[in-house]
Amino acid sequence: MTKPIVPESIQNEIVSALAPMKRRRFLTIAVHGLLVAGAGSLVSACTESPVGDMDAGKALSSSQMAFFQRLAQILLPTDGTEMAPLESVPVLRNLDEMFNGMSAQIRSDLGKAIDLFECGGLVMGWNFSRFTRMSEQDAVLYIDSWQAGHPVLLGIATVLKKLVYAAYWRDARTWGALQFAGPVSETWGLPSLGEAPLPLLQKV
Amino acid sequence: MMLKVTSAADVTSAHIDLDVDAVIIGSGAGGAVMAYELAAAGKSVVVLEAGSYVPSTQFNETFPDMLELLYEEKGNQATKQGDLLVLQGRCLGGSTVVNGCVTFRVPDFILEKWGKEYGLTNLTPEILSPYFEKVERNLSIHINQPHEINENSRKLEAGARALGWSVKPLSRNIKDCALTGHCLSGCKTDRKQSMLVTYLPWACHHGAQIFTDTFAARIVTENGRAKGVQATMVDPVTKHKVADINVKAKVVIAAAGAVQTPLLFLRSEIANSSEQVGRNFACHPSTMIVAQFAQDIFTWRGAMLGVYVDEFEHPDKGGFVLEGGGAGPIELGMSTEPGTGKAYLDFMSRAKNYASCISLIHDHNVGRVSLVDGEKQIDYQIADADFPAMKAAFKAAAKIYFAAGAERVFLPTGDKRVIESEEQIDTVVDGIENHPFALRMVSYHPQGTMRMGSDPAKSVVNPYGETHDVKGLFVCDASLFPTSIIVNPQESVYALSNYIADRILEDANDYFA
Ligand SMILES: Cc1cc2nc3c(=O)[nH]c(=O)nc-3n(C[C@H](O)[C@H](O)[C@H](O)COP(=O)(O)OP(=O)(O)OC[C@H]3O[C@@H](n4cnc5c(N)ncnc54)[C@H](O)[C@@H]3O)c2cc1C
Repeated sequence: MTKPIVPESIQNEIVSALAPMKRRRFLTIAVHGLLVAGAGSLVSACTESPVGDMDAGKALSSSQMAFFQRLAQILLPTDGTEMAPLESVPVLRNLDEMFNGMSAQIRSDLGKAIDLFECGGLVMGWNFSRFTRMSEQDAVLYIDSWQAGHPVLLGIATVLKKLVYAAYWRDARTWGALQFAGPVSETWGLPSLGEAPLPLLQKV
Repeated sequence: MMLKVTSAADVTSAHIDLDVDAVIIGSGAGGAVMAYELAAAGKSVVVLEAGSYVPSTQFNETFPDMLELLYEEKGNQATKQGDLLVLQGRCLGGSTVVNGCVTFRVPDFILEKWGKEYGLTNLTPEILSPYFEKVERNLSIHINQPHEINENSRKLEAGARALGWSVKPLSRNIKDCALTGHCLSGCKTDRKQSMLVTYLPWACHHGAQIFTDTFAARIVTENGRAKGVQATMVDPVTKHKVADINVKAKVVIAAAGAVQTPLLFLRSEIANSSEQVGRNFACHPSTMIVAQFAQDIFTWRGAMLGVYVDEFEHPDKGGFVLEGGGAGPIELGMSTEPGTGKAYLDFMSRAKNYASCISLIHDHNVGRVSLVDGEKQIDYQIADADFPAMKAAFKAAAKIYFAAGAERVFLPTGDKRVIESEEQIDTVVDGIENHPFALRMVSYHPQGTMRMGSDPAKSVVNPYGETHDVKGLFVCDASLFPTSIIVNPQESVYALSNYIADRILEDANDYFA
């Protein structure tokens, strides 16, 4: 078992903060939950200073790019495996495209989730470090502790993981290691059957 | 061959006025069948489709690309709390273009319940059976032949047989299946008998006009009668409005699917004296259970869906089915939680050794679709009463896979839950609690939000598909189902839509006078 990142008392506070806010979207709830738990000023201080010096994308800010770069390194340690090296797959570009295609509401919700995840270690006693500055080992434990925590934390960690995985596996370069053939119709030379012939007019 | 449609790129006028017998909103399972049946009977028909016309030559068999091209909200449509993806097609042909081709008739015990509890005594197996037969003929529906049952499904079959449980080949609407496994990305070679290659071209042949990129904003009524639809045509690339389209029609038929049809009614502020519009949302919350075998399975190879375990289908026996469904790397990579970092890559490195099946449960209609500040909101949390069915499905799947020789079973939970042996099944599954993000769920089958029934106080639509409140206004999509139907719904939508078309054509209320 990893050590729980959110002490039970704070988890309970989050839960009670959720009750009157049932109608709000979950990520907004999560942010409010942590504000109630007294983490507000630290979170905002954390999000104001961008991490890393990466260029912003179409939809992702430079700090979000840096965040995802670190998250991808932690989630996909391809060195020494048969998987396509992380550096050879445009994970960040794919993520940026995915965000670019999302509604403003979802993008904003995810932005809050990223902030919360990045800064959670500062406010919840995880060596007082933001996620992107944690050692590899701590980062893995940190992620696992979110997934073993309150549903809101579990939700955030799961969603962020899924985004990175989707951005990696969607690239054809990653398929060889799995022996996944990808598109086959053209390779197999399959003819199209086109429109089906008109049926006979039939009354029931 | 290209289908004759009017899309945003074809339009030069900022206003289009049309006057027809029937206007149909949505071109998926319900809308396409309705369009064909009315057009073939000689009625003038207009179909308004919010999505674009994407010919199958543009399907590239890469799931994320096709999610973005063919699905509602580019595949991101989710419930309010974000833990259930609600997948629907948003393109000409609707969800039928991207679905898994599985077909079922509404189970008789469900029809019986509808008769008893919702006054749908007209929808007996005897009355509906000719409709099912007609649809089955038209869509080349057939029981999977041995070559359409891949190694993945054979594992499910073998395990179920070993336990003495009922398992059957699935039926599908597909001609000469090329066994590519890419159904959910649209069928590139038009073997799937979706609406794109069947009822829509047939409707056009009989004179139906189709407008794509056209979002129906409001239904217009006058003195308790439907009069037409106001719609907007939007350029799919620039998102700019291209034209206003006003359709005057003698009959208005909503077939925008179980999420958008109620929203259309709520925006139009009509037919809601029962206050049931948007309520009673059910969705067969579906999960994927993955089992590891020593030998190669290649779950993604061959026909995507092969067999199903119907042993527990009846609510008295559990109320769930398991379908042998293949998964590509993306779906596999997101379906379960094997750990972080190295543990995850280790899991993925064995992708070819996994078998996978999906669970569908007969959920209660506890959800709701509504407008909040003018925006769509889907509220759904799996009911505590339904959670045991979900857990029973996991237990059954795990038992089956161990009986078939699996080394371990991965559960579709938010946190890591792996079953290493048959003895561990109960302990591991019993530990799952019902809370948001506890499970990795997807819905392919939203339904129920425009409940059909004989009592106007408890339902929106009468037993013949017409709204209780507004004459000449019909619904013919999956939103009609008063309860979830447990099994994949497309064939039931086709048959019900044809049934409702026949009632309209009987013209009992002088619709077309
Ligand atoms: C990935 C996936 C897999 C599936 N697999 C299966 C399967 O194997 N077997 C099975 O039986 N079922 C399956 N289904 C479900 C099945 O396809 C649907 O139940 C069925 O198509 C529902 O029909 P419908 O007419 O209600 O809606 P849809 O077929 O979804 O059609 C609704 C249409 O209305 C359009 N629309 C929405 N709002 C508006 C508006 N305001 N104006 C104009 N147009 C609008 C949409 O763009 C869409 O084209 C699957 C669905 C998905 C998404």
